[in-house]
Amino acid sequence: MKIEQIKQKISEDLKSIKNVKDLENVRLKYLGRKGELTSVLRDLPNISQNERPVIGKMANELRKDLEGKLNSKKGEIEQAETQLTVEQEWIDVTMPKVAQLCGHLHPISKVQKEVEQIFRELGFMVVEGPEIEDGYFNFDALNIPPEHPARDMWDTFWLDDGRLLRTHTSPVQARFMQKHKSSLRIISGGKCYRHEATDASHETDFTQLEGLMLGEEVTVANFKAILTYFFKRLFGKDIEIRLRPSYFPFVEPGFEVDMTCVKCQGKGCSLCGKTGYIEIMGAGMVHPNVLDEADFPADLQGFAFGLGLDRIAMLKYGIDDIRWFHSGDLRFLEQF
Amino acid sequence: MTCGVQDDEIENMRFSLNWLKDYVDIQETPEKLANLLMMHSFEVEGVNSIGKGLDNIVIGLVEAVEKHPNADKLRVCKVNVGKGKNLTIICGAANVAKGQKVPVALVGAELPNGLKIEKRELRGIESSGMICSATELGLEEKSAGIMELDSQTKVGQLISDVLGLKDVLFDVAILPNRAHDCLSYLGMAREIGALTSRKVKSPLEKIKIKKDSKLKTEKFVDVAVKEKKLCSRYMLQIIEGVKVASSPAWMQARLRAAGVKCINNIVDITNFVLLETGQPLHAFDYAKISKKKIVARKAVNGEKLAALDNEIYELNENNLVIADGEKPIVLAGVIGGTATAVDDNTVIIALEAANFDYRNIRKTSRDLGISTDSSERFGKDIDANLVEVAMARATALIQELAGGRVAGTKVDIYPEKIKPKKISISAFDVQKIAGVMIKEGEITNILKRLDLSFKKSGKVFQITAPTIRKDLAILPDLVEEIIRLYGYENIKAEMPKEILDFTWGSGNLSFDNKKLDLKNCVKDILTGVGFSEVWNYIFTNKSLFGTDLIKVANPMQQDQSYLRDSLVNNILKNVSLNLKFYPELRIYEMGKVFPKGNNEKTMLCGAVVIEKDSEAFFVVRGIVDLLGQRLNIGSMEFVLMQKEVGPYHIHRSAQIKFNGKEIGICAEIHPQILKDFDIEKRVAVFEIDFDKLAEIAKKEDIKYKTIVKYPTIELDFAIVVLQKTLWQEIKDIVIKEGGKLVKKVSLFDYFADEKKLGAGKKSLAFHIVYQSDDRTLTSDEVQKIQNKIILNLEKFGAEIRK
Repeated sequence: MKIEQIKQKISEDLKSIKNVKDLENVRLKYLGRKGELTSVLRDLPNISQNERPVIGKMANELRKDLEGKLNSKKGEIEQAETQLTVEQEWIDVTMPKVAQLCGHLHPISKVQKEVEQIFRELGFMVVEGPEIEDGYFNFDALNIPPEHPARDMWDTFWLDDGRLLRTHTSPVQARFMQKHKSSLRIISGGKCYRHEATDASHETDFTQLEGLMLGEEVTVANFKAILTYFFKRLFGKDIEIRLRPSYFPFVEPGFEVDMTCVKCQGKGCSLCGKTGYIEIMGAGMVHPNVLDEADFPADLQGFAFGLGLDRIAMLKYGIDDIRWFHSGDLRFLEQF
Repeated sequence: MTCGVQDDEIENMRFSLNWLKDYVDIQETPEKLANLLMMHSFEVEGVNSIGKGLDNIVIGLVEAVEKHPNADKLRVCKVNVGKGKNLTIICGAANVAKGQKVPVALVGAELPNGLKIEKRELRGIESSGMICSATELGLEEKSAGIMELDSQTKVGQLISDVLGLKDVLFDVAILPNRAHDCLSYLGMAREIGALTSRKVKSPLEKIKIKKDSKLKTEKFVDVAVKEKKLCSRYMLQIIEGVKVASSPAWMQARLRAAGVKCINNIVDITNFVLLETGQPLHAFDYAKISKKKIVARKAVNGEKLAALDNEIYELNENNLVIADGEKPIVLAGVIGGTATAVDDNTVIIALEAANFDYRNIRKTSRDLGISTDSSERFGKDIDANLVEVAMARATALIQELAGGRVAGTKVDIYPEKIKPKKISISAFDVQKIAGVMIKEGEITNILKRLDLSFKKSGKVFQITAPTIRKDLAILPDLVEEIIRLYGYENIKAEMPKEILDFTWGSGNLSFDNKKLDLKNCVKDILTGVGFSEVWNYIFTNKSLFGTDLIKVANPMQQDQSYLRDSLVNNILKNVSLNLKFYPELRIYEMGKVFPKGNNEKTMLCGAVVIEKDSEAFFVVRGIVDLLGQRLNIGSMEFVLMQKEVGPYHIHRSAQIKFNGKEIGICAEIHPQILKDFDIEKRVAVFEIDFDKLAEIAKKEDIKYKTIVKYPTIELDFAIVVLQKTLWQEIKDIVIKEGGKLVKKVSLFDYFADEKKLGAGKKSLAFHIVYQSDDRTLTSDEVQKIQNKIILNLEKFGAEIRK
């Protein structure tokens, strides 16, 4: 019987299919316009009425069966071919072929951002001041009158027009107090300049951050609490601070702040000169003369402090020469 | 480096522990003492023990010297080293002689240079020790022979005791507010006394001077002070019949420990009293004072002084001098002159103690470049009342060590007497500032330790601050004294109550720190697109823009004489440096520039070098566009430069404008400038006025718009135009003619090809996207607009490529 023969042939042909092209050939051979099964179906009207339903049914079933098998075969082949492509597409993933340029913040910017963040959380406002100052704000307003012996503590870059490059960020305090005569909490970071020979720990251009908190009951004990919190946030919870007497004309009492050595955790090492502590900032209670000069309300008092951001960055990253900061050398800058 | 004070600006003084012990009992170890000072007074920068290894060196008397029988240059000495011991010592020095007192290293001694002394046979004679030179004792760098000691020293005594060689030296950084009293042994002793609760034994309390009432200083010399403001006190004392000689061993030992050269007893005494009290003194040889006149006056311009440092100084009217009847004999408070110097033949001494204006002393010292122990002290505004005690002390010492008759009267011109200040304080005052309640009993105790006299009335301590403590003037000064002795470590940290109050300040304060946030934001954007931040010095040697710069009056170096007016100069230096190590780079700086005649401003400057360097400009332009978008500025205009500006390539530069206002530039660097900077690749930069950028940067204000559901129609164009036609011009025509249905115009291709297009022409290809918000567009509709655009582009001179 013809249909049986076709069925037999189909089953053999299906086995020999290797690729999409074979598959298409098989489909055309049986189901194409001139395909064997198509002709059977087309010839159905010419078959006797007795046989027609049986043959018709068999032929249709065979067609459906073949279509189903071809489809699934097609799926198998495509999957195998995709798999083959995947196999051929091996790449060396260890090769960094498309490098994305990676930008780096300057280490002092990084530190400044972090320091500002901590103080902002404590309600301090960040303010700015000019880098070219006049003698009044850099000295006089800060209780350093002309020819005061303390004026020698700052080696100053003078400009031809009699102005100067600020030697510290403290003038920002004086400027702010003149404008805002109330309780306040501010910090101000920025570049300062000193006329001194440079070496591994001295620079003409350096970065300072000034802080000022004034209120009715702001005390030395408060200063200790805020700065302890600050240093713990910046360097870790094991850090402690200690105060020692010191002198800055714009504060009284004035103190030097030491913190636990970050290198040896207070055990004593070469960095801290075996003392376990390193000098980190100068501070004190704002001098009455400074408050008076700003015509500040008499019932307010408080503390001011200044710290070198260069020094903080050097300690944090173990940098041994301050001159790297202004080197512009990417081999240095890319490490941050 | 610390906050305010630089290490090298603070006056350091070296203190000998032996000497300090003359005035105050010290039981603490040197380390403990240093720590006490550190935590309560001054920073101690060094603690050095000296004189180790001098244990077996004693004073010997040379009783006999004979020639060595077997060696021409050696001598055999019999030396008495005390306790009845006589040693035979072979000595090679030519200056050894009978009757000398010399340092003898006994067998077993180890010299500072490491030499161990043993019994040795030298050419047949045994030597049991060694007679030392000053070099061998570590006292001098070079010695001519053995060291001869003062004949009054005792045989058998340890040399280290006699010469004060075993000592501990403290290097103390005296802060400026205590320089007027603590740059002296007595000042430091008082401080140590306060820290250790021990009483100071002051040599100033029981001074005994035998005066000759027949001698009157004012009869010897006529003293006048012409400059009362510059010389607030002048005291002169005549001492007649002194014998100038070496000072005794104990004084030499003290001065040696302080690093002061010994000269003769008179000069040594003035130096000794200066170190002891902090008051400089000067001794004149009376015989050399011309016309027996002494005047404190300003120098006449051009007057000269041959000074004790062997320099001749030309003086001017700003300098205060002490002059005799003819000429300046001392640059007041700074340095003495040779003309009236004390020498071995001096018989009558005129001893000066004075107080000079610190400002004038500092100016003179700075202007003439002379710094002496005296000018350092006077420059610190010392107490005028020190004059009296220092004069008495020096006079007594001179009488004791050099003999002489002290005139019964002295000259003392002191018109405005300095009186002690009174300050009141209570425990509450201390608490208000320190935040700790210190009991009254404790405060009483501290005031006593500080030797501050006070009366108590109710809760108030009425304190009289001695004039020597000029730093004690107002209440906070006393609070500091009390809490530093109480100990900062005893103040408990306490968070301020105010810390939770975020409503402080007057109404005009804004807490959003907008500008700071913007700085951080811009830096983050640039970091994200591969820019690394550099920081440069603000000093420069010239402007790349040919403009005048602000000049630094005292530059560190000649090529750093001006303040920068742009960040470009230094950033090109950075590029040049880094191109040695990197083929491509993106760097930026945000910093101040200082244009002359204007306010300083913050600039943002970036530089880009890429492999395909002809595209560098477009990378930089893209970055500026990105900044504009991220800062919600919207689109900025890039306007062709009309003329050559600064270091920029005129045909590859644009002004960046917003609403017609220039905010910066975006440019390639001129090839000649690149050569000057030794850069071989094209560099593109942007420099933006950050303050202006901050003004136009908007707070993020996003309002959602629905996505239009009607389809878009996209059409491509290619046109040929003249080379110098701007894309912006084409784009403007398309937008103007296309109307609101044109949603987007974007350039996707550009080329210039002489063969295909002809010379001086370029091809631009772009998409136009049409869309309506409320309906589906028909192709007829779009075609009409398209035709209008084409017509106008053709009118403009564009040729439409098909």
